[in-house]
Amino acid sequence: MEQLIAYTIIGITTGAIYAVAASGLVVTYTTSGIFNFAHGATGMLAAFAYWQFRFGWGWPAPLALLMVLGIIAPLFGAAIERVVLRNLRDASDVVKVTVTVGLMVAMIGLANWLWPPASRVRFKGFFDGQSVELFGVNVSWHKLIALGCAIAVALALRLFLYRTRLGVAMRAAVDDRNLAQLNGARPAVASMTAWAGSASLAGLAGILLAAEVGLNIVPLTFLVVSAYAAAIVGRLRSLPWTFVGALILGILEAYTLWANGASWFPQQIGNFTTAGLRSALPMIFLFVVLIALPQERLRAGAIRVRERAVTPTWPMSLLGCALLIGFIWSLTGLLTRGDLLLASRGLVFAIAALSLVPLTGYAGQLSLAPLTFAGLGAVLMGYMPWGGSVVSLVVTVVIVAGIGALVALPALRLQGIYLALATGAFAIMVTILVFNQANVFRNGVVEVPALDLPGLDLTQPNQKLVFLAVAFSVLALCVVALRRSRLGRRMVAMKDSPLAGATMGMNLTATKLAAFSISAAIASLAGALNAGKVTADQFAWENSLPLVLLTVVGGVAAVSGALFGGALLGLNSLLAAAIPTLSNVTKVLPGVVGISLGRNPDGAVPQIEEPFAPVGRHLPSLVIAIAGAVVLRLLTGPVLSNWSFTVGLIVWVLAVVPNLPGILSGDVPIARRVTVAVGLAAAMVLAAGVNWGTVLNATGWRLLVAILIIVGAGLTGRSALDATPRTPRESPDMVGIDRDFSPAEIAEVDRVLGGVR
Amino acid sequence: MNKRLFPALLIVGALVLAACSSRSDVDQTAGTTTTAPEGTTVSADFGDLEAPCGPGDATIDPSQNGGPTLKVGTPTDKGFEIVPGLNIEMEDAAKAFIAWCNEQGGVQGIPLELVELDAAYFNVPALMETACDQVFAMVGGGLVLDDQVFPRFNECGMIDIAGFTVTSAKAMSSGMAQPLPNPSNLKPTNWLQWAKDNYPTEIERTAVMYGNIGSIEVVALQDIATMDAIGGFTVVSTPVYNPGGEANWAPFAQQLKDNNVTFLTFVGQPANLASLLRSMDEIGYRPPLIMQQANFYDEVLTDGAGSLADGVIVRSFYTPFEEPDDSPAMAKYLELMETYNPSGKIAGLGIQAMSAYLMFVTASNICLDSNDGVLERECVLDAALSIDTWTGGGLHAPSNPGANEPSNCGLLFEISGGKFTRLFPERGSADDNGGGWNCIDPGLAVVEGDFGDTTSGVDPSRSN
Repeated sequence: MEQLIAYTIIGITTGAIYAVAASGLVVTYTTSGIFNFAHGATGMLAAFAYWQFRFGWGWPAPLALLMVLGIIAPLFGAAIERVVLRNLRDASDVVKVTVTVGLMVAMIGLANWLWPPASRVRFKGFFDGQSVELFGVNVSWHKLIALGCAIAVALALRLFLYRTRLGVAMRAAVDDRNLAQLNGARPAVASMTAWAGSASLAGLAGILLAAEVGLNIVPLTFLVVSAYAAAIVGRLRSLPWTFVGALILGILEAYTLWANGASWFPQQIGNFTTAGLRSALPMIFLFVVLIALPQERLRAGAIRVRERAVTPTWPMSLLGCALLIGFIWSLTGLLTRGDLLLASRGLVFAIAALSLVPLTGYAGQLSLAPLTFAGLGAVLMGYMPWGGSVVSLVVTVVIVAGIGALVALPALRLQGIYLALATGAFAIMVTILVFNQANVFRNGVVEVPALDLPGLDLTQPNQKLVFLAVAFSVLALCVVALRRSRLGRRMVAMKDSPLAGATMGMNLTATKLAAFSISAAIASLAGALNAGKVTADQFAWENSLPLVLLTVVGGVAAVSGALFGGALLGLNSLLAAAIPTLSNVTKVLPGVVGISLGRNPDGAVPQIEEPFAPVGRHLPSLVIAIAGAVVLRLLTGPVLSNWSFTVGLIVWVLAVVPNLPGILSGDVPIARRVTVAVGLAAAMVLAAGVNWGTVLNATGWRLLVAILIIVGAGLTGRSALDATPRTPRESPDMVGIDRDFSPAEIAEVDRVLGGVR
Repeated sequence: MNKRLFPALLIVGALVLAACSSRSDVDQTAGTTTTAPEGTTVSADFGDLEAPCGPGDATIDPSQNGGPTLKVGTPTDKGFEIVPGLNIEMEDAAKAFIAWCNEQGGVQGIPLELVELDAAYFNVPALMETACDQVFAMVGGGLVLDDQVFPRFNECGMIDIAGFTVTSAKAMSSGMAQPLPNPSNLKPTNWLQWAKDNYPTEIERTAVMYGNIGSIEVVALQDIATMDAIGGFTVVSTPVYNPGGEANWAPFAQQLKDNNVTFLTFVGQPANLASLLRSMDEIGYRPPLIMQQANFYDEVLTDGAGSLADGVIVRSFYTPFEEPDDSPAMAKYLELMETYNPSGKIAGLGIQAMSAYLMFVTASNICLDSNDGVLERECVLDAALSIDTWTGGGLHAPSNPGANEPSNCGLLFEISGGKFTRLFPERGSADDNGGGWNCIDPGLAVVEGDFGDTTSGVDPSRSN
């Protein structure tokens, strides 16, 4: 009995910390409709800021608290709302979630930048070292304060949201922004206030938590994930229920540990230890709550998708794959073995990212677990009794596809953010219960055998790289074929309007299951084809976040977006390795890129591809484009140095190729065409003629110049000869109202809507 | 167009800015790492090692990345995004050592050149390719995922005078010698033996608490196996925490209390032990004996737990930083850092890196003397493995690199007043077997159990 009381009281104090963290999440969601993945990171930054004032500069605690929670955090929250999130009003859930993930990644980078690990010292709680006795159990003042805060926050916010004008306006703005505005509310002000308040709450949770876990970026950012479960108990809306959920979770955790210490508790189940069970408990709890709670019904007209994705055509897809393989093949002669390995990492990421295209891009279901499935693929492939044979690969893929379907089963009733959380919970459970098992990754390493293919030795970096490029291309073409099939159209219909799809007799369940299985199968290949030694950490759940982020940034509805996301993630480490002093920038870069998504929810790749579309439709340009690249490659060695080839190829592809159709056949005056052609030819000679290898002697500077040239050439390619028609960006609804459609516009509308071509 | 141009320019601007500001950084470090400030003269001896570096006319086998300079690579994970600067103290020590050594004339006349090898945690195979391309030897570094250097390490005939090793595969591999050997099946017993001698009843209720990650769990299993080999210990509790962080450590404290644990050893990170100590204080419980492995000789523990860290006992095989007056070698390490790399980090692994560099130069000298002045990898490795007693000039307890045996000597700190103070043996007392170390015989326990693969780093075609 004594123990029961002790563990219950301890559990309640844990729950109090979760409750404060979860309240902030609920406030944000209730008042802005956005589930904020950056909530923990905001708290983490606030804890660091508090430390800086309180212990770094020696301010008194109340003053430091006032500074951080009263001034800095609210300003920070308001600024985020104003700069980033206001643009997201009509964006899909996928984009909203991804932007907050981007914020989180950027904040982690920022904290590492501002407070390098060596500068971190002790973080004391309030009334450090003092405690009181409750029912025979000592509880520190700090934890009592946390409990008090949790209760006060729950009550005060409840009153605020339901009894004050501003609070009601905040909720109204989420339910129907336009209606609220018509009734005289000012949604913009309400929303900004909400974010300011929520950042303050995050800060409070961060400071309370930091006294317990110390000033460490990772736990401070991710422990809040445990609080998600509590927030879901309140269905992201009810603060009192959130508080109850947090207490239940805290007490459950304490009881599990109590049981775990008892002699009757099984320490082993088969080969698996039960030791990680308690660490995984919040996620198991989240999973159960998600499935057990009644779900919102499908809502009509609620989904306003701002993103548009063009159906890929076969010629462009084939051309893209051929270019990719050719480019990668030409790299093998140029890069060192070490850089080849770094480059193959990018392609592995790209394959994992490709798994998101059917699931997220087509079917509109967000998954936060692509690398988890890749990890399962790697582990299974490593343990297959048939070594590197194709049989092992097939069995691995089939098993992981099955696991994907199993995950989808409970998730079938879920949508949007709830589904994303369920996949996230799955990823964390697998990380803790499978990947962290000493029996799975003994000493942290599993050896994935190289696939036995006649005539190939995939342990060689150059062969491995080309093989991965081919594998990516084949999978990409399969995904394109999927998009053009019946199933693909069903997936897109489910994304556009699940309600309409269901009304027309479409089987949403089967479609969702198929999307999950296919996605898991593709992701498993990212693990199973990556021969060599792999570690558990590579597949830890938090590593999926930047991947999802960069893929959505690239354009998750397009195969090329996946390549963009994976390559960028791989390039990031290549860049950081080449220019160590840039590492601070590369830390923040993915986050900043993610934040920019708010302005551009289609992703980057569709925009990059835009100027190349006319080339694909114009055969002479196409032939010249490919011939030019081949000539450059043939000249490398005898005439050109490796770096000159790289620079030349960049200018050729980005600046010259998009202008080829205009130069050859445009309706621009001939004199202008000749001028542009001569200018571009001069640029080519300059780019390929200079021996960059000797002019710039540091790899870092070469990469930097290469980036400058990429941007410069890209801008030239867009603007040199404005003969390349751009897709009209205004809504297709408006065309035809003020004047009749032209035949070109009818064709364009057909193309945009994915109809006949 | 403007909407697209703006982010592009922003990124490029940031890159240029970083590159510009970084250039001045590079100049600064170049100034401090290659030459000493004018007017300073640092003597040529290092502790009890007489002038390891000096002039001469040695050459390097050109087929082994030889040239006018002796290129050495110090692998670290300093670029790891989650923990930036991981183990950078090893590279910092390497920079100071190389500047000093080159000032003495280099390795018999050949100047050392540092090749920075950064695996950033995950990119070990790529790092290994770079090492094979560029360096004569890997010296004084260490990687978390160090078994990923194989098979390439052996394929290109690399040698490694390692600062530390992590996995069993690396610790038992070919081509490697290290100043403080760490084989997976042979563990020092002196700290636990001391516990048995001084706390015979307390150790009957022992808890080994560890983090839920394979690599930490292996260390915990080795500790338990060592206790079994010594005898007298009864492990009554093995609580497992989440190394990613716990929101509340009080349940763990309560669990230890319920099990009447009287001896606790905690495997993992010092910051987490600090949190546990605070929670134990909160519920008003403290086991009489808390004893920790050497990685807890870290100010994170004393900073994080404040006065609650007092009484914790930490084993060490380093000459204490607090005793430069008693140890010329420690004074030398601190002097080299102060003179040649004042912004560098000073820490335990820096000692191991420094010792590895000294071992590399010592072995190179032996090799050059027997090999007509030509430096070759296998010859250096053979020379390193011929050393059967090594203290890094007095930087650490004597070990046996030749037999790949850890030290049977050690010392214990007790934290008191927030400082690490020597507890055992007292210098000059009967327990001091020389140099301030207590050594016991045999002092090493053969531990049994599966601690991971030990064969994948072994290449039978190599002699060592």
